[in-house]
Amino acid sequence: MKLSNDKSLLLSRVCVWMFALILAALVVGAPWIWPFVLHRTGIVQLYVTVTYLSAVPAGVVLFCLHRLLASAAAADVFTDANVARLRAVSWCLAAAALVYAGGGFFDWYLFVLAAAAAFAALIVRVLKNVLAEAVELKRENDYTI
Amino acid sequence: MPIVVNIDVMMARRKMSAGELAERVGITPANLSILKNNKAKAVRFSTLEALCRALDCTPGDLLEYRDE
Repeated sequence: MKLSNDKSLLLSRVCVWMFALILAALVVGAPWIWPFVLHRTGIVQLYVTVTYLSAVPAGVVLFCLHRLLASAAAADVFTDANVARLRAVSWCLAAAALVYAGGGFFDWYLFVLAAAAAFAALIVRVLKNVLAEAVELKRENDYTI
Repeated sequence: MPIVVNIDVMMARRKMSAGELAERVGITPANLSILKNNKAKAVRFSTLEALCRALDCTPGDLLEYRDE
């Protein structure tokens, strides 16, 4: 199944909003959700703390993704602002990885999340480097008369 | 950039307006302005050829290297 560009953009935006809702629900309901999900009472406080600490970078990531998709919808992708957004996403993922890694000393499952977040940060960083080069190429092309 | 485009000098010598030159060369006045203000990153040979034809000059009359 191949979606058209517009539908694909819409799907991405819906997903970003869904994740924003999930994040909001997690932030509000963390003290009740984690005891329900986890059956080991000793680590509930840890997961609640990790949730609150990683909620800030997660919120920034979702906001940046929302702005990136808005610029894609406006066909204005190759801009320095988008490079800065991808850089912010990459650093936020790295920050989340640090938070999870810190939690990993108390519950090793969080090390898996830390590794996943660090790998995602690396991928986004590479994408940021590629986009920065593309912005420079576009600028050169725009100023070739 | 040490390459300077001297279009305005040649335009003054030929007494040609920017609008007329842009029309003769086939570029937009905005792009001609980019060239005149040394904002251009590159010039296509086809554009250079059209400029030389319109201004009756050589590329050396239009482009100059200034060591910064």
